[in-house]
Amino acid sequence: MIVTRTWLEEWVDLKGISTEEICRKLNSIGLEVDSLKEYRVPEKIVVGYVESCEKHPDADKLSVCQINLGTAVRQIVCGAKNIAAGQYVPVATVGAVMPNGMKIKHAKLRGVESDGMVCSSTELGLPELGDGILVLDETIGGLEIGKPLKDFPPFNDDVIEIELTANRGDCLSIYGVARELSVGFDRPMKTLEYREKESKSLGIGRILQFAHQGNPPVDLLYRAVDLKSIDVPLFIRLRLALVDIDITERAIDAYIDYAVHASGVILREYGFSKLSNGSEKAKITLKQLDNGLGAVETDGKTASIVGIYQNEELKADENEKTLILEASYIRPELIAPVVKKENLKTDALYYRTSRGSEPDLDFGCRVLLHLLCTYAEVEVYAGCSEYMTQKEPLTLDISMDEIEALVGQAVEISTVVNILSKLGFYIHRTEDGKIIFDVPAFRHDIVNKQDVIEEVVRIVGIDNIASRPMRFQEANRVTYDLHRYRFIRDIRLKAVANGFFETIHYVFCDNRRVEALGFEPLKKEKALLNPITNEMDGLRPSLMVTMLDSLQRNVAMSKKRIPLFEVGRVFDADRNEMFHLLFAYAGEKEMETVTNAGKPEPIDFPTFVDKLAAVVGSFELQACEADNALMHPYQSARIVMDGETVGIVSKLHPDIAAQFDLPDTYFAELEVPKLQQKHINARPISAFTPVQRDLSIVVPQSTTYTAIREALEGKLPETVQKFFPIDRYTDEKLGDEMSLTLRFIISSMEKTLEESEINAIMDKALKLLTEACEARLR
Amino acid sequence: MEHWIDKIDAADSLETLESIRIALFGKKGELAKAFAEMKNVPPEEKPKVAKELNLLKQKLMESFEKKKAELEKEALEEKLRSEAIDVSLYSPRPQSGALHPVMQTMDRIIDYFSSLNFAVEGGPLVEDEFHNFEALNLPDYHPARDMQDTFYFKDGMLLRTHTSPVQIRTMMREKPPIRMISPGAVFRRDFDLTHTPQFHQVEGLVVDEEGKVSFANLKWILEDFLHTMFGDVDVRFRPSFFPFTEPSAEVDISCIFCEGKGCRVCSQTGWLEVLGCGMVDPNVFKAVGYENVSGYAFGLGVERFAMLMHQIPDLRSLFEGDLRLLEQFQ
Repeated sequence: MIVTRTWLEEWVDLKGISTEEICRKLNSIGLEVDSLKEYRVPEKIVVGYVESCEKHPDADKLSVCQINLGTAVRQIVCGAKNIAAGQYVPVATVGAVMPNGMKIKHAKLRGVESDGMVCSSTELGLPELGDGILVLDETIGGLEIGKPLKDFPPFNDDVIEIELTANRGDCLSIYGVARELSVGFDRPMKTLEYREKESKSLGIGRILQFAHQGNPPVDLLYRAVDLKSIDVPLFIRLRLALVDIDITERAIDAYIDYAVHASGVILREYGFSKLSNGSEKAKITLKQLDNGLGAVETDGKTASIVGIYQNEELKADENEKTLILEASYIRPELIAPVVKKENLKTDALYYRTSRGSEPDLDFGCRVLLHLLCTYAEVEVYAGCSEYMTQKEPLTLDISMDEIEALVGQAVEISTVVNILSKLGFYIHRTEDGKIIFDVPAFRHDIVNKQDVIEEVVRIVGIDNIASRPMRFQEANRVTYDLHRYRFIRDIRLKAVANGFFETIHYVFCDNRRVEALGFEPLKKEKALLNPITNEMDGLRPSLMVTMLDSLQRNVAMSKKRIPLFEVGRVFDADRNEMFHLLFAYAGEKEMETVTNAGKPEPIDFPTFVDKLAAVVGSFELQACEADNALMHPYQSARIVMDGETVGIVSKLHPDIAAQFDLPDTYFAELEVPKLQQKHINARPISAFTPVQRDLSIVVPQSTTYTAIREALEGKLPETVQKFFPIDRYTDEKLGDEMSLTLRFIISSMEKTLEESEINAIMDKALKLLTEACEARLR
Repeated sequence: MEHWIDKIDAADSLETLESIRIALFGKKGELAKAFAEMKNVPPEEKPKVAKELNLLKQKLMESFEKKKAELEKEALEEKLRSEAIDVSLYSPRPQSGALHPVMQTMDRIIDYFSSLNFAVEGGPLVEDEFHNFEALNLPDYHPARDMQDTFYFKDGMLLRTHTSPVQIRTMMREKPPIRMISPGAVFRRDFDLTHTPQFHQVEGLVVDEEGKVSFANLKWILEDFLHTMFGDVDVRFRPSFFPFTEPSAEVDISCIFCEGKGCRVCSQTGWLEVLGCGMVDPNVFKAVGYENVSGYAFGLGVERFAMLMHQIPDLRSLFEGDLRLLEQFQ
């Protein structure tokens, strides 16, 4: 909603209040100011009268004008097509500084002296008002030759754009905003002095026959005028331009737009001949539709659905002599559900009706007729035709205790009464700290006590409420989600300590990529209905699917070492949400430093796995097949913790790496719920020094460590604390075999083990490995 | 034999000193010889000569030990000097990664509220109309629904447009009193310079018996929270409208870049909008079956907080994983 200061001042007294103060007040009472633009015409721009206008002798497109500036007649060369003798025009005289910084100087244009510039609206810093120079008329406040333009209020206005919240339909008019300011500043409203001449003795009934069937829940009011002549004067054009309303070719539209913007009443017009079908009377019937709405019909045709739209064909033609003017109202809560349900076509005024237009129809008509009588030549038919539904006002009561409980602070009853009555509430009475009142019809947003308290709060000012800490009962609020959040935060911090950078990606991704990478996209019936772009038409099935873009971007930005991680949701084909943790590492394994002579090795499987374990804790790797096209078929593994698979780790498949221009890349994607913190019970530790023994064996190269581990696990004496591989070696001599060295840590709780006991253990290990894996001692 | 003292003093290495030791103190050394001569000394002079000889030996020993310590110290110093490195060459380049600024900001927000005994609640990203809209006093024809461009699925489900549905889920699962926040990703169908289709919110809700929770309480906690996050700023409440709260307010802080004088970031207003809040609308309580309760709720955009606190110029850069941005938060 855009308002201007001078327009507001027609309704409310704002004398002595600066526009900045007005903006502050609007903000503080809940009408958020989006922008403030101040229009000021510079000095030395005056009203000039074009006494003569002749073609420039040496230039087709220029005119040489003699312009009376009051103090003198000056010769000015002008390039506008629309300049003509007899016009009043704005003239920037020599010495004027235009809003764009241009200085007006004495000049010679193609050999002809020029002493100033005739201005267009944009040259004056105003919105555009048609091509060429601005032709002035009486409506700006008289035409006095030589008078500076800065002394005409319409040219010097402050334009305030308010971002209205959806509940405040009552502020979709200059009048509505003025009413708010009147309460906010405690200033009285002005009443419009209507200049409405009922110049015709003929009553409207002589030309309009208005009937209704049923009792549609709408209000309608008709007036009629005969048009003698109509133009849109500069004053109206300027105001509409300032509040960003386009001016159409039909003059009556500008009048109606102006009156709607001023009053907030829904106004429409029809051509008399369109409704009369050749007879003496226009015939209109209001009918109730099955969906509860009211339709205005004429001769079987729909002229309008109240609050929704109007049949454009029934608007007045250019030559129409008589106009039927219609003001209408319907409660917003009645139309919005129907429009949504039946997907009805609506016109521009629906924005207002769906938020609640002004129900005082007579007021809107008077504003429009006042405008027509002031600026156009019309004759108004006496009386009106109307259909009004009886509406019981909503009566509410509120006690000061209720206000105090919700606000947290007491408010004087007299203050509340003053606020409510200024806002248009009808106060029935006050009793026992309680106010009983009616809600005005234009405040459809107010239906309960809390709504009323909101009115009190915003006018009193939230800044005037003292902050107070709440008293509450302590309770255990350590929820599962808080636990999980903290667990993940610890992992994130460890990831950071181990060199990984956290990323966030959109959950959206390209379904074609999802399929190409071997994942199943969302099932058709569960797919996104309205994706924002084609590349974001799916939901990621894995964090790595969207991480590829960040890896690629960093490679493109010449990053040589790219360690990233992300915690986030992924979706299966059934759209189940899963919580994943991803580590991805592309490029060099270390930073370039003196120690690696600036040439770090590329990241490899064991280095990546070590980093991973440093973050999530120890795990076992078990060889697995590639589940999707991201995984390298021979460098991928299941991550197993306590016998449960919690995720996978893999080299990125070289085809995918090439597709995204990536160097060697490894990634691990884990399921967060399976990573929950383990409870640990401590084992007693021995008082005797543990012994370390290495066992080197030769086994076929195809032997996996998993097989070796399984051959030993649980089968060695308890004194074997742990064993792990420390070396793998192949050469030509070994052929299809490899040498593998295992390290055993052996310790007893009772004593220092004898050499013979240790040897027995090692023999046993070798025997187990020989039986299970064809191992022999190297 | 006094000249040996000069010899000891002149030794310039541990090797020379060692040869002196052998020549002087060895089994066949000068001192041994001198003691052997004692048998030729007449008995009456023996005590005197022996005493002198012992004194001399002691003197020589002292000189020797002193010189030896000196030379050893020099040798150690020499060894250490040979181990010298240019330590300045190894000023570390940080080997750690970094948390994402949005996630780190979210951590700070969660820290604040969980320290004040707020529970943390999560919820699904895929929501239904009831939890995302209807229970929040947003029937499908409500004009406020225009504010929220929603991603829908073909089966009528949607991606949550705010974290508020978690309020509804929590209230329907638990009895009051409620004291919770709900952090997480939300989605709006909007993609330009200042909007991304996904961003993060933290939502707060407090519900207790009727009359126990007031707007003054809401003001207190938000003022304290904003001071914790942004330091010494002015906090301003502007009445506003949200379908799920009433009275509602938007909360501004004085611009942290120009201290309220007006700059590009605050669009010359001197204020930055950072929060929406209000007293829970009775229709929301009705939807979850609560009676005789009062409550407040608030919600904020984490990206906005992160961008303001760290002066990050481009919202979209937060979703690009660009290390040149992320490395700055090491």
